[in-house]
Amino acid sequence: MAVDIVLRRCTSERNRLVKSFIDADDISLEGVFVEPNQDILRPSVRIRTDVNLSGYNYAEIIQFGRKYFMHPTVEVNGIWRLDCEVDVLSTYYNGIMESEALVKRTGDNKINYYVNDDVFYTEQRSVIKYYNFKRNNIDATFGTPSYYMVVAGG
Amino acid sequence: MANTLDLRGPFSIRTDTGWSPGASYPDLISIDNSVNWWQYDAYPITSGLFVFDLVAWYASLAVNERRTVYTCGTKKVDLIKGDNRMSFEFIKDNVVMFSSNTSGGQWSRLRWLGWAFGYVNGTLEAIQISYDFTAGNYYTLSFSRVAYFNPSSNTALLNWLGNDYRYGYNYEAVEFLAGNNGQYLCNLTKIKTTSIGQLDQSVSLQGTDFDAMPNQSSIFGIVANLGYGYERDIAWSGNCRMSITKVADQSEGLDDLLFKFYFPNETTPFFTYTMVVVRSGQGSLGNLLLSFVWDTGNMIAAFTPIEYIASGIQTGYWRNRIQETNRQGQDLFVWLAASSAGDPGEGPYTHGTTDTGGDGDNNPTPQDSRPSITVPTLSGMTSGLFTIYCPTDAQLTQIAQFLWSSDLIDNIRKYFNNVADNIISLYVLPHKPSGLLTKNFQVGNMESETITGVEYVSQRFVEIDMGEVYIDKNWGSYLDFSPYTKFEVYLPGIGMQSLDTDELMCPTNLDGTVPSILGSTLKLSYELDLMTGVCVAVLKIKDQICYQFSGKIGYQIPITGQSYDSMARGFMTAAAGLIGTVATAGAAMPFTAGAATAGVVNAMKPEVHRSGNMSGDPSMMCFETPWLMVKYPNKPELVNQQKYTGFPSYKSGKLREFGDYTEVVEVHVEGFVCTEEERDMIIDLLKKGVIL
Repeated sequence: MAVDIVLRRCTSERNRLVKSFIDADDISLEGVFVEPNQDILRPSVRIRTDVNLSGYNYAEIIQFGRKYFMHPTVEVNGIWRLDCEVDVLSTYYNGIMESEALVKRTGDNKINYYVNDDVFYTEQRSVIKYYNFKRNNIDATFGTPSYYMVVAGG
Repeated sequence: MANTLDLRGPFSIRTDTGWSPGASYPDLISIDNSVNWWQYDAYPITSGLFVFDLVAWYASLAVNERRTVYTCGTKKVDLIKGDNRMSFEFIKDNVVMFSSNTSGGQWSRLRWLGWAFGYVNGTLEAIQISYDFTAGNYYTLSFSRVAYFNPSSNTALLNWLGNDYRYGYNYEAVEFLAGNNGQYLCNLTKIKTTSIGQLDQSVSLQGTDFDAMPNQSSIFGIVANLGYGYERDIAWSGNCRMSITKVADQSEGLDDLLFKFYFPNETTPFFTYTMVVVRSGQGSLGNLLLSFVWDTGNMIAAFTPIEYIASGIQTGYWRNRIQETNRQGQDLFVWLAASSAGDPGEGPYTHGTTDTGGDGDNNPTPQDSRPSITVPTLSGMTSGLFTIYCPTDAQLTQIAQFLWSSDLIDNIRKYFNNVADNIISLYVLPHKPSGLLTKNFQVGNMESETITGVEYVSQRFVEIDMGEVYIDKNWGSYLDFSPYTKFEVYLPGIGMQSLDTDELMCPTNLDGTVPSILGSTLKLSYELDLMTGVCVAVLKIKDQICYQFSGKIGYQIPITGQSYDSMARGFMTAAAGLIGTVATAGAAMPFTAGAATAGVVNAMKPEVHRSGNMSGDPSMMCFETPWLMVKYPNKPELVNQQKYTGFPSYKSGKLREFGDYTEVVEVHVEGFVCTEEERDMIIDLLKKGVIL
């Protein structure tokens, strides 16, 4: 089975939904499957090309409608084998973003800093501060001391 | 110097400045020629004013040139230079509603000419203002009622002005008050703009007349629990405050509520608003709500508290334009504008609309108030059995001489075996009440004629205000709460006491709701027994008593061998407060393993004692000012932590509502087609953390 494949250079990490690419280097090629009974999640595609594919790490197979992390291998006679693994985050981006979740941690919006899940790192140094009680912006005291004499009668 | 001021609305005529509406001839106000006319405070006219420097305009315009000097919607004012004259045209919808001319070179004498609009005895009129230069550098500022001189011109000017002003101002509801260093936030009851009405009478409104009526704006509970004559701060705008005092009205079943507005550090309110309400529990008063309206263009405001009664909603406000001056309305605007803006952020107890679990409804119910202590009234002070004097040093010397005089000893011996039996005790306290009465010193039945003016105590138990401390958040996160942040208070005469961090940081409101703003005011007072020195330190959070600790202050001065012996045995050291709630001081724990998260760091730190028992004799030798100690963790500076670990959320929603690094507890991956293996892969990745 022939497939149309777009090869790209991806600069993002695997767990990022929206990948970044060096777009100017995209190339579209036509290839064939190496072996029968290909797993569409982990296909292996053989391509004959004079282009050096060693710098490519990402592929999109049009017929499968999926995007893949790609690992190229050089075979003999200008034939490259592209071993692919589906990138589910990019492939199903829209569906994932519409999915409902109970979120444990997030970096933007709906943050609750008061849930204690030990996210904050603290130093061994603590901060200790003293605040005097003030009355009319002056340190409060009992006032004027006095003798007190308790006498009988009087 | 022509002005193109935006017309915001008329100003009201002040009747306290010499203007006498209805007089046969309007007053002419003479001013010194060194006074800047624009800043003549007697007439703070900053809006609705059209004034033209005739000399400058005449010079700048060509003959027959027309220039628009003011526009507002379909209204405008044009200036036209004619041949030896200047004309003004007030135009609306391209129709000249009013025109005026100057001629004969008046522009050289009539320096400025203009019009404004204002109320004369409640009737809107146009006022002509002229600044007239006469011979000898004598300037005359005059205000003339156009209606008096030319009623048809007045009508024309008013027709140009139109009727789209509510009492001359564009009032709209104020949304919230915020202040007191972030400790106070109140979303106000908001009257709809179209329902605000004229502010000269009470207005009956219905529920449809309000945009919002939040519980935060209710002061019903505060008023119900407020003692008569007790002034209490109930709202803050920035560092400005508002207090309320409840006074029993002469009429049965009614109370007067005095709302007083203060600027920072002022003790005299700039505005006091008195509202008569039905006494709680005796009528149909259902609620009292805070509400304000303001005109941000004219920078004026009005206080519009809302009374809710069972038969409907009725406002209790009116702004009598004769009695309440514009200055108070302008000051009130400044007071309101002091509210801090900005998003208060996520509160620690935000209740969403989703189920919180369990079968409780989690509706806040009011809690009981604990505002003050009632000291004992039975003290024996008026029995005549004893007297407590507060002698000075010199008087004490005189008393000693008096006590050991031969006359006194002879008389005392007729009744007692020992002179010393008449002297019950002599001691020193760090506090002396003010305003003590004085009299001649007397012991038993013997009065000294020479030791006069000795102060004496008539009230045994006194309350001493020992100040307050504002408590604010540090990190705005769980680090501000126990066990990461700790509070201890030093109480003179008692010692160190630990306080509940959670209660200080987020005390529940009296109506049962929990605030979204962290922090509180901690107020300290001492109830002191002047006869024994026994004291009770009372700590209030949000004006409610939360802590009481007992101790003793002062020290004994022996006058007999017996009293000295008692003192030496620690007789006067009364039962004191606890050393502290910490049972033992622990040793520091070494670091074992794992990341330096707050929980790990906090667990390693020991508890320490900061004082022993400071009650009794030691009380006068320690620091007299109480203090609050706060200990909180220090965070290292982490940049963009949201990209690496995210922050706690524990909220649900669609993933597109979140951002940056996101990690889920559980997720429903559905609504699109994929293999089950892919679906499991997605769930697994989302649980481990992805970057949206």
